[in-house]
Amino acid sequence: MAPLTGSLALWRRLCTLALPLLAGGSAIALAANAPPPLEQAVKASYITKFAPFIEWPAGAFANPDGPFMICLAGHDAFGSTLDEIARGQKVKGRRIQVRRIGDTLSPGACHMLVIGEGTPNALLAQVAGQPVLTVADRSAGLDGGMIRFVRRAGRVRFEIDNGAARVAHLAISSKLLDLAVTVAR
Amino acid sequence: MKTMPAMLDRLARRLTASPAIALLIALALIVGGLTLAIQNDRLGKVEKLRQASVQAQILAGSLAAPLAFDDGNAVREYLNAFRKDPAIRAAAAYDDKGRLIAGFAQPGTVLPASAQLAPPAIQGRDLVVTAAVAQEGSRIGSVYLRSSIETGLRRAMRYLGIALIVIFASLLVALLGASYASLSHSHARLEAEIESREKAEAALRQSQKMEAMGQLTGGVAHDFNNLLMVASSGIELLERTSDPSKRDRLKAGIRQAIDRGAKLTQQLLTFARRSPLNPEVVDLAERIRGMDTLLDRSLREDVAVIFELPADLWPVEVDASQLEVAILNMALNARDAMPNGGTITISAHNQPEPGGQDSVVLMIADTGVGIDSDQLVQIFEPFFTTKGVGQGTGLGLSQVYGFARSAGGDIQVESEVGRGTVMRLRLPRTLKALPKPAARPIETARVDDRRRRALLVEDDDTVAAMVGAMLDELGFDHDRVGSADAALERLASDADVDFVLSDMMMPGTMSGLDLVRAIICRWPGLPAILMTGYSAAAAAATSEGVRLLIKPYQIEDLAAEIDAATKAA
Repeated sequence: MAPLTGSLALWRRLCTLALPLLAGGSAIALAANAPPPLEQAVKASYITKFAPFIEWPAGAFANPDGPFMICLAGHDAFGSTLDEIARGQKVKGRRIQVRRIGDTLSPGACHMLVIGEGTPNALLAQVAGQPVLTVADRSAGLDGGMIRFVRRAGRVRFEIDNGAARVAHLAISSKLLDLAVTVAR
Repeated sequence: MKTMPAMLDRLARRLTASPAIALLIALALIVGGLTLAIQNDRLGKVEKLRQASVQAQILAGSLAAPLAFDDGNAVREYLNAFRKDPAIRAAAAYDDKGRLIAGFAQPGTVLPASAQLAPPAIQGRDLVVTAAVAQEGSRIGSVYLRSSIETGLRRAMRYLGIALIVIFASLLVALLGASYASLSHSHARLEAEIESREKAEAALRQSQKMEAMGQLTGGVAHDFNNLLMVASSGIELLERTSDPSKRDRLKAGIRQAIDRGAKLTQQLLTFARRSPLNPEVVDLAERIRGMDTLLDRSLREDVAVIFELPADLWPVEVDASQLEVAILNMALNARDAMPNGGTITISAHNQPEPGGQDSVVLMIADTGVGIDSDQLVQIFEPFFTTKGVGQGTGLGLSQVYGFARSAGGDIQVESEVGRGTVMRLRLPRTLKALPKPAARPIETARVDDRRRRALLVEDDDTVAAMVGAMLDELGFDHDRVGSADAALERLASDADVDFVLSDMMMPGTMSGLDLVRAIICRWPGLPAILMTGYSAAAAAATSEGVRLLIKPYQIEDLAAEIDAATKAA
């Protein structure tokens, strides 16, 4: 049994070895899967550009001079890129503020929620029905969100779930809808 | 309603007085057309500018999302839509960094490498407009649009059309003006011609009258000699006899002779007066009877004149002087048709024409030789005469014809060789009333107890002496001066005069009429009476309402006139 045990132990050892390896492999795979920085920059730029084409209900902005909040949940795929692009930009006369949030969301704190990897379902449930535009990256395997980035012919495009937006009392301009790859009504 | 066309006509006449003015109008039309075209072009440019700005705005709005999300295909699609408009010379879209995203440029134009927002401007023949692409205040990019204002060919065509219309209109105006000007020129010539012809006609009328006068003169001179004979022998006999009844007879004879002479000269003067055609309402019977002496003198002793003029003749409206000449001409013609004497019957009757023009027919019938029927049609032609050279000009009956026509009537002649001729002058009846004869109260000479003063202005010593004697007889002291100027001086130094009696024709700077005018101005209450033997002067005086005595006059006439004048004053 010793060999068995030994083999088991080896297996375990292997396992323990392999796990980090596997984990490392998956990390490597993840790293290999991670979009090139240019693509992320494009997406970050799009995120800041969506806002003018979307109308929030009047109650979404508590403070007339308050910032336009873009919240990042889960894994941050943009790093400093989004902050750099957003810096100095204005949306609807408000400066953009990028904020990374944890598991919970204070009400009215976000106007746009970028769903990253590992975003808790509870958070998504909390956002549902609120006037918060959710953006996901389908090209990175993340589904959900009213606007989803996809890749078409090597270019970053997006799909729009207009139905979900309507439920959240958000009106998306037909100009933006025209540009979407698909629109779920 | 009638004044407007008249005004327009006057305006047109003034504007087209000469072809130069018409040319000027045409020129003004061309200048106006040109100005209009330039103004139109300017307005067109402004309109085009606005249009291009709107196009750019629409393009900018459409390109907002494609530019924001780098959808080059969509941007190109939108831009390509503009390519179909040949007026769009270039169009391009730039992103927010000013980089060219997509665009096209027709040959001959280049796209700016980077975006530059600028107000709309005209560059050469093109219009350049730019517009910012923005969404809700967020600047996304910009668009550039360059459009030609108008394609060269279309522009040329449009101007050619306008130019053609203007040139044709100008040509038309010039043509119309020129033709109107030439028309009015010939119209003026025609008027001048008519005027000269009227003058000639007036001269002809006068010569026709003088022709008749010439025929009269012999008879009149002869008659005057007879009258003078009666007068002079009467005075001679008066001196030699003292038998009152014989003296009375002689005086009556002299008086009669002088009256006849006076009447004759009066008729002659009236007859010879040079006057324009002046129709007046005339009582034929009265007029013809008034010619009795004249007719008597112009005819021979072996020719008798019978008047058959009913009292109820309708009045006619004719020129009285021409009427008398016509009657005399017909009478003279009748006389010449009766070399062995005979009778001239002057008769008249009303000729009613139910539903038409009533008229009065004046017939002059003779018992002469008559006229051949082949000559009958010619007798009214001017210068047609059967009389020998020096005996007639052939103008007499042509005057009668002309008179009949101008009076609105006609003349007919019937003749039977050996039996005589009847001329029928038909004159239309007038419904106008006869002018009221000036009623002159006939008063006998009145001798006043108080001696009054008169100023007698007369250059002829004989006349002055006789009139002075008359005034003395009527109870007036009188001063006599020889001219109007002297009379005024006399009045200025001593205005204690009851009335002024003045001759009309006098030596000096002023006539009697001028004197009366001066008296009316300076001594308004002083009555003044004029006397004259010249009918033209008399007409002038009566037209001004001045009291007038026609020489020769009798003492009763003088008394009545003085009486009326002093009463009126």
